[in-house]
Amino acid sequence: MDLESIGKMAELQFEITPFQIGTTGMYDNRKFEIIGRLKVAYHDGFWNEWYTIFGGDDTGWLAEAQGFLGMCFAHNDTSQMPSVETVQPGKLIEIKPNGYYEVEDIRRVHCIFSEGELPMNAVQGRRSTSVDLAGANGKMATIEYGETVRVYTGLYQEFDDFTFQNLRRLDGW
Amino acid sequence: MAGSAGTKPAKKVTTFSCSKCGAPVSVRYPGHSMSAVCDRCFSVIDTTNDAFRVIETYFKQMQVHPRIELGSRGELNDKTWEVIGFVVREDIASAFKWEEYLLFNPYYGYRWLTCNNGHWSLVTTVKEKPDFSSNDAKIGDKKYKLFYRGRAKVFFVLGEFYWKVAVGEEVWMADYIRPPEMLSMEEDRAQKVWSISEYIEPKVVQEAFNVDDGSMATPVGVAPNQPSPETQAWKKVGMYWGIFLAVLTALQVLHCSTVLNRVEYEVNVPYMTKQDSTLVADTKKAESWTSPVFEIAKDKANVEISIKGDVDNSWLYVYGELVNDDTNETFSFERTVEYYHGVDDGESWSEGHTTDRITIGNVPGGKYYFNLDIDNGGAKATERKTMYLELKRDIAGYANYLWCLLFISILPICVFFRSRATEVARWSDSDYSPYQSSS
Repeated sequence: MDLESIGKMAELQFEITPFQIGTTGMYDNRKFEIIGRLKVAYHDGFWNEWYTIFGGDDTGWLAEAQGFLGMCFAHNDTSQMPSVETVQPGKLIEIKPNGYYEVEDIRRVHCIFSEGELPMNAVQGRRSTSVDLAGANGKMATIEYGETVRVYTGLYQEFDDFTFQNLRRLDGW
Repeated sequence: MAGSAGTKPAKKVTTFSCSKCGAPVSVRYPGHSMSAVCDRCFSVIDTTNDAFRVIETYFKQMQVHPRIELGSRGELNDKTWEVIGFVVREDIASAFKWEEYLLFNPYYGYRWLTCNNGHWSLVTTVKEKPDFSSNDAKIGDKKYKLFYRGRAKVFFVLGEFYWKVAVGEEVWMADYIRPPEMLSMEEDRAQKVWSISEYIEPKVVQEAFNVDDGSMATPVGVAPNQPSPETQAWKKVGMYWGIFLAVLTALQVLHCSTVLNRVEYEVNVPYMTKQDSTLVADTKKAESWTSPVFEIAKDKANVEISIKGDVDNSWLYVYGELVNDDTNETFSFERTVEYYHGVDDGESWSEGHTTDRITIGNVPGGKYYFNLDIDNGGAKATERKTMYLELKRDIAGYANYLWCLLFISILPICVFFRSRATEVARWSDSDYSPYQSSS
């Protein structure tokens, strides 16, 4: 696995994401704007995490991976999380008070590109283990095992339901 | 988001030389596609970095031509999709093969179009996990029935993919159906992926992607998730049938509970038995008898007249008239009761009956009397006997009910059997058919 060269490949030359800094959308009846982005690589691919700001300075992450879009927010209570060694696909993990989530996949990830405004802790080159979880009714969660454990929870949503505006123009589409 | 049916996009593609054979390999979505297949030597090449490592070389002789040209675009469900990958998969147990086309839209992500026995479905990966009970899977309110469980492997690939595809790659699969949908599971060591397929008419696929007639396959049999007009009709017709039956039965119960069902007149009528061996009544030799006047209640209703003869290897013939004393309106009837029995070759037998009933409809209420002509024959001795005559007013009728029942059931029963035939055909390829007691 050569993450450095994956990074090279991922340079913006091949960018076909429909999002960009300045794209706006709706989530949970609230308007948000994309202000930053992290591009994350793992052994079999990449995904984008778009840093979004809602009115009132709330922030969230719009995850864009293999055509799935999920909006998630930092979850404060991280005390109950299992250790990374015990996590495996199919395992049920309770994230209070939301309920149980099933582990979808576990990936060693590496942040390969960043742009725009980002929170202090998001730095390019950072390595961590990212665990994706899915719950009932489109609920999703991510546990990030790095120097500290971070938990994000949110919902998958259809592209059209976000009613995005100011999307990037894609050649041929 | 433009792009009309069947057009080729004008777009930059990345091209590199196949690390195996040197032929140019194009990648349409390099940022998204993790592997691509050389269309000359069919090697699968890792496109996640510019080393273009060969993941796998192709040894099989057999090649499969995709029905839909890779790179073509078409509109399905109001969205434009570009065909970027082609996979032929094989059920390991039966060697049955089917085709899967990977569709891509940079806004909406990936879909699959599957072609199975000439039947097409559009497949969307879902994140939701179903709940299970015995052989059913449930997502929300929707219940899907287990249809197939088995192992499948990748048999042939072309195009580009969002993972590192490999020929021979095996997965566990399960299909649960709820036409026109199918819920499918694919599981390998790393993950379990659920998807929902929606049946698409072959014509819709053909028109969307401009596929020529020669490349389309004639659908065979009934697909697991193919909607059946017969079954849809049965669901509706069956429901109405049930409602009609319930209403009809309720009316009948109401009818039975509201009838008078009362004996208005009964009498034992005397007559002399005859030893005649003739078996035919002769009205000229008949004895006549007239009853006193009696009252029949209710305005218009039926009457049931019962005749019971004291017959024993003999017969009794009655011609009767029920006469309205005021209007002389006459209702006539004619009956023979006969009862024979004996022992032949050590076996006893009997034939006929001693009682008969006649129902006459629409008899107005009022004062009535009976006129009877009685003849008989076959008696052992000439003696005085009586026959029993009874008139019952307003008895419950079943004929109308039964005729209605028959009439409204003809169509539903036909629809049911047609629907069943389709469902039996649909499930004939399944190990989990509800139409087989065991398999």
